[in-house]
Amino acid sequence: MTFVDLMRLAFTALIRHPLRAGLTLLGISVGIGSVALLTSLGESARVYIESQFEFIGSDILVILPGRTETTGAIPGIGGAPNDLTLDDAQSIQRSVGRVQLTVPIALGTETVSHGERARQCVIMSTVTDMQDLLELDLVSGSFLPEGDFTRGAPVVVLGSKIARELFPGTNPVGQNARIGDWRMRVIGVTEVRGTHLGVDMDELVLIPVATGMRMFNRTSLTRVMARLTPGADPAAAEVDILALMEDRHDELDVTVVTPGAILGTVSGILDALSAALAGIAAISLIVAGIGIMNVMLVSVSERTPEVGLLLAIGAVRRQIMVLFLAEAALLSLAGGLLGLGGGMAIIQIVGSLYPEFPAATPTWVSGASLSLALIVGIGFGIVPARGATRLDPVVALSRK
Amino acid sequence: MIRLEGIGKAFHVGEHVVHALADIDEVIREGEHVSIMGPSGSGKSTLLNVIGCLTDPTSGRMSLDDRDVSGLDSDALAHIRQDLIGFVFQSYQLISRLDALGNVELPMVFAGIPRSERTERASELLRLVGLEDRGHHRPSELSGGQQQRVAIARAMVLNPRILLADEPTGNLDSDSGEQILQLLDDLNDKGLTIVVVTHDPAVARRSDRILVLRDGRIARRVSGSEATDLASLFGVTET
Ligand SMILES: Nc1ncnc2c1ncn2[C@@H]1O[C@H](COP(=O)(O)OP(=O)(O)O)[C@@H](O)[C@H]1O
Ligand SMILES: [Mg+2]
Repeated sequence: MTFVDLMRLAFTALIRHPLRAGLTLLGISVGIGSVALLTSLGESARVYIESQFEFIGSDILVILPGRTETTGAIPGIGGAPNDLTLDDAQSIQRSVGRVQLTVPIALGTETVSHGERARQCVIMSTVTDMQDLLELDLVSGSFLPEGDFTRGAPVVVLGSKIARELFPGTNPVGQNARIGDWRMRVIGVTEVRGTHLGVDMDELVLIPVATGMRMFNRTSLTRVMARLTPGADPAAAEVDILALMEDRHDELDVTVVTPGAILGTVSGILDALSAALAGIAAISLIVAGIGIMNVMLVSVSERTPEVGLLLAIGAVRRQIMVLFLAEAALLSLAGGLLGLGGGMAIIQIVGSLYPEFPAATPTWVSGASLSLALIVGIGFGIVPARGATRLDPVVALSRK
Repeated sequence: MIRLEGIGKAFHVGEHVVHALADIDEVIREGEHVSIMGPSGSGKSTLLNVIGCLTDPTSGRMSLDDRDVSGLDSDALAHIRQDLIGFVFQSYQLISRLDALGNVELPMVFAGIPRSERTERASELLRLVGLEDRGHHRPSELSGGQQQRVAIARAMVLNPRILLADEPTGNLDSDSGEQILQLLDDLNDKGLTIVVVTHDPAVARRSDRILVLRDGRIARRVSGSEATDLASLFGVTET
């Protein structure tokens, strides 16, 4: 019995009941489709989120005021920590050998306006080195000026989108903009960067840190970003920074978030999400499998005389088994292909609706979906197929 | 060719034991044409199925073509059926989704005979039964007599030594039945051993010998020409 014979016998049997085969196929395609879709979405989410962290760089530590027990969680809620100051940031850069560069950041929200046009923006108060850290390019003008951290000039660098909205058709560099009550001079416009870490970089408004501290009446930085000296161990750097800060503040009141910790937390969340999605997909697959089993049971029972005949003409029981398994496999594989196609189509649609989301069906997902379809088909087909092999030929032949 | 020694077959139905066959001793020589007659329920089909290795006897020994087949496992018996035996059934047992050629090819499919050889051989057999122009007809497009001829072609396709037929003309009108019997006679003339179960004296008359079963035992052995008398003697005309 060649593969072609097997497929011909299985196929001709299936198409005798197009509705029955079609509905079973639909069942398995929904099951496999949801597996392909959910796995692809899970993978895409992982790729997306990890790319967001890659952007920060694996050599960047974040120092936050406040202390939490759980690494990776967002601290600063509750408790009254000491301020995290510009001096702290500078002393880390000076005293911790494993840190090459620190960049202080204070965040606030304020209305940015030019003439009639106004909008609410996140204002990032920071220093010259931020350009280097974020690898920001400018389309026009220059970045925040170098100089004393503590003396803030009334200047602003606009994200490309804000620049376009507030200064349509003109180059904002050299013009004035208002941030709240403050009159600022636009000195630069950043290049289009898109969204990273949930922040649309093109909507950023950057001002000197000292200006920001005064504008928002703050004494503490929101965070300090520290870039490691090339080759330095992030965990060791974390220990150094904590020791220094404990020394400066007389207590341990800052939290250092390492990229590993962030990624670890994110991966944990993604793993849980993937498991939940897989669970949902598994349920639909089991339902589809039961559908296959049911159809195969009916098929074996209907074709009992055929089984009797095949035994009479010299077929061995293994061949009968293979025959019915081929039928189940064909059904499930066709359903799998259909489901995979459907899943990939939906992924395509998601991708075109949210261009910044890297929606794609990884090759391994396609392969795994089809293998899974086969496994489900054969797995649930095995009981009916074995039932066929156990028939007594004489009894089977006499069945009407 | 067929040697039966003390063959018995008991069926367990609930708490009851039905002795379908008891103490059958018989030798059927190569090239013989034997009919099995007897009242309904006398064990005719069971005997044929035992000879065809479709039913395991509960006692006794059997050899086919000098091969002892007693106690062989189901795969070995399948190979004996493949090598030695062709079956013809009252209800034809054609596979409705395959055309005549496909049905005739089927035993070769399971015997692993290459595709090219199969088509040629199947066409040859359809020619033998006079259906060479019906190869692509489905069973539903053929008359009963034609379907039974396809079934005979299928039974003969692997060159069996023994043809076993259970009421082969039972569903046919007398003209179609006559064609089938003529076909069997022709095959017998070429040396094929044939065993036919029938309740029709007109069928039995064409055989060399008749085994008359009663309650699972061979009640009488008579020559084919005595079929007409037996019908009245045993009342075997009712099924
Ligand atoms: N699979 C079976 N299970 C139980 N009893 C059976 C079975 N097959 C046959 N029998 C019994 O064995 C006896 C002989 O049956 P069978 O060989 O079919 O008779 P015949 O073909 O002469 O009409 C009958 O009593 C029948 O009921
Ligand atoms: Mg019978």
